[in-house]
Amino acid sequence: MDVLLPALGNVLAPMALLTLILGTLAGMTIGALPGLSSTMGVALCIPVTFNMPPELALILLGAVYVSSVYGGSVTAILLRTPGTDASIATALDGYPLAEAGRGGEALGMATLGSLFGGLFSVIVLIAIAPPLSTVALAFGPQEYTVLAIFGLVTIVGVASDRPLKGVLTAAVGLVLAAVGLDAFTGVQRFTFGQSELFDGVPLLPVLIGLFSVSQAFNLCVPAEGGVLTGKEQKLKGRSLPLWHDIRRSLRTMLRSSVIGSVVGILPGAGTSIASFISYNEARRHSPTPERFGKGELEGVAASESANNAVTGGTLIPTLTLGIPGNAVTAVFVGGLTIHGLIPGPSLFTNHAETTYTLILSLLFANVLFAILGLWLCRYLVVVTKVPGAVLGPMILVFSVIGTYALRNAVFDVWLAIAFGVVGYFMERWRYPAAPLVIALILGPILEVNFRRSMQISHWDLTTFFTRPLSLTLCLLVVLALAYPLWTQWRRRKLQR
Amino acid sequence: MTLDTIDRGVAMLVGILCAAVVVVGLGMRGDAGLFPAIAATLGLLACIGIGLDTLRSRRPDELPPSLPWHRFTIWCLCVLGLLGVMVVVGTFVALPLFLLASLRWLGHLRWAAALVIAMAFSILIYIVFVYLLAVPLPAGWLTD
Repeated sequence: MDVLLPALGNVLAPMALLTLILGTLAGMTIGALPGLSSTMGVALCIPVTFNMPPELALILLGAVYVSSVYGGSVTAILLRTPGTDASIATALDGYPLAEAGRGGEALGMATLGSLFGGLFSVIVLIAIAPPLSTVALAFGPQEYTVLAIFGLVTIVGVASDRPLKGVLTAAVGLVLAAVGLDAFTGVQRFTFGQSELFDGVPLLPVLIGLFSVSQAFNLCVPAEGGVLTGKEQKLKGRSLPLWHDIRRSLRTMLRSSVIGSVVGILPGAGTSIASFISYNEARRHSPTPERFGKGELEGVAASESANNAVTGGTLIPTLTLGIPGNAVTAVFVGGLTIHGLIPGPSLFTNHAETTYTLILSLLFANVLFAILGLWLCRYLVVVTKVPGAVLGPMILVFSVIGTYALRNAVFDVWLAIAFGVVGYFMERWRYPAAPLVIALILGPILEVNFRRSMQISHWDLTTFFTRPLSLTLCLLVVLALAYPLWTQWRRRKLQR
Repeated sequence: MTLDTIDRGVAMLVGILCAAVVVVGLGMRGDAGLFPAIAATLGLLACIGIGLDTLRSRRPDELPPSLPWHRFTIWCLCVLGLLGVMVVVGTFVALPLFLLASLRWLGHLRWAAALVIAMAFSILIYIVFVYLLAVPLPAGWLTD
């Protein structure tokens, strides 16, 4: 309580509220634009927050994150073009509803579902994160080593339909993480004499390059410059679903929110996985499953509740353990770091007020996007008419200037451009970027804690199996390795 | 070039780099090179796995989406031009020129529309980064 009240005061301050509104509007716009992702939105906002107080910075990043996930539903319903991959399942029933003249009801249900899921996940975050951070205080170097391996194994397992490509990009990320002066011996590793690399490959230029600059390439290079695909449906009829429809969707929203929160906690599993699992569960439990895919409001509710419930869930391992679960939270870690906040148990002890300011701001951000969404969603579609070749240069300029603003170093800008080109070709050739980014963040954690463990145990590898917490985490790693193999075996068996 | 061919090329190139990292890492003082060597070994094994996978792949080989080389070249030249002019001449000469060039040659906007958007966005960048955030952007010759 002695932290919550000051944190609430921080959120309700005029500048904080203004930041919240701007972040929510920016996030909804970014989410609505197909081709732009939540990751890109958060990455681009980080340089803007550089001179802000940490509380305002986190409020902005959190608002952009949660509202961009919601924003994708607008174009999914009205254009059958999900703004983000989180809303793919929303389009299955949302667009048929819009075609039937019930687009307003679909948008209303998407908004209510997103609000429900978002609020639920923040409550889960408030309930689970502090006790988990207390458990994390008992973590030693052995536990952090195995936890980092767990994070890498799970993200590689789900990042791509060809896990070997995920392993390769993760390995490249680990090698990049080793660049710089070695913390233990002071040896220069792969710096090639560049003083800018003595502290390692800077994380934010890499993130901005991989997710923003590469997207600018994706928008500008193709000959077809626009970002639209489906035929736009005019909004007709009611702007909110009937109370009867809301009431019968409540159980679906609750189930989907639980699914989304649990999926969010697991490293590697993202919003699209959560929304599809929830959609399938809603169809399975529905008395009229044949209506799904043809315009069923419960389908929209299921998808949107789940994808917004993921947002709070992903922040649980990120804030308490410093293990980002997906690309967005990896970028979030970058944002925390530049404001001097190291993810982990210390966030809930030394920086408790700032952390709870972020968490409470997520509650307000969820309510705000619901209010603004119901009011503005029909106008958001207008931004999708901007051709990609017009949007791309602006994104590139923002990325370049934002990258330069981090350290006033032209080297960082060149690095971002180089990784932008790499990211562009990685996407074309189907190499996942998320394992590289997560490996870049987890690499130092893994190396430092592994070497500390070896120093403490005099290079005895059994130290990872003799501690109960570490052993439990080792078993999770084994499960994470076995699960994809088991699903592959099961798929082959079903095919036969 | 199919995706399998590209994968083989990537595997070969990255494999060579990983092998080099392993060799250099094992030669480093103390255990400084241990972690990079382990990571690069993992990368090397992944490259071998990808190479073998492409050779025995039962899936039909696919072509990647075609790359419009003309547009790609123009875009790369615009980006390189932006960075070069930004450092040498100054940010607020480079930005409008870059935006004008890319909106005209890639976005196919009319000169007037491209000019208006270029100037408006450059002013927005100035307001956000220079005026509000006090970020000292490269001014190049303009400070000399």
